[in-house]
Amino acid sequence: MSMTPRARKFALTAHITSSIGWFGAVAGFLALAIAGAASRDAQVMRAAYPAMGLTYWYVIVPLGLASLLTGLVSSLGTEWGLFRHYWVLVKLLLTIPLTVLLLMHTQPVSYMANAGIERTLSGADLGWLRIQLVGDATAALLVLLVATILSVYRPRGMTGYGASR
Amino acid sequence: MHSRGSTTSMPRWVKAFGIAAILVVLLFFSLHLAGYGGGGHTLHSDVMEHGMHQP
Repeated sequence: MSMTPRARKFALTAHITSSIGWFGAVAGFLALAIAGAASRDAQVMRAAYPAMGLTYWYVIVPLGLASLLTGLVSSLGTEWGLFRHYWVLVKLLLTIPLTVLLLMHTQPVSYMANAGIERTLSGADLGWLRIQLVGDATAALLVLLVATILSVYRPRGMTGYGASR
Repeated sequence: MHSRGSTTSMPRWVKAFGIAAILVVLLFFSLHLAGYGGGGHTLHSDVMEHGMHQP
């Protein structure tokens, strides 16, 4: 299955845009998570967590899904393939768990956003949850950074499947 | 495109990556089993009792 050059460029543009957008949105989410976790000012928390909720639902989740989908299309529609080169395979093995974890972490984010909106947050409330959001965002950012490095450097190595074709 | 990867043996970077990934996963589950990580993928009962809705 091979795409036309025009379709290939469109898919690649969509993939780069969604992936870098995902990275930037997670970076913004991390900044808000750090502000929320480090601050003892109730106003900062009530501003940070609703903003994180909106960013998560309307930017991070859609861009994460778009990045995975466009990545699949780009790899399957070109000679790179999905299972031929280790760097593509490793990116896939990074992106799928990250997307699954992204969808599994909707509850803590929604709860904190609602707590901020309902003005029930103060002081050291839900300390572990606030720290967990910082840890999760940091881990996600590192994974996305590794995926970006793999895309740029494309380290050599063909899988057995790729070599046999 | 295919000239970049001419060998069929697994490159060293993939092996190192795999070992690092296994260590990270083990660390992740160790922290969760030890009770760290706040609510995990779901929330504590004290959080749930307040109710929750998506934006």
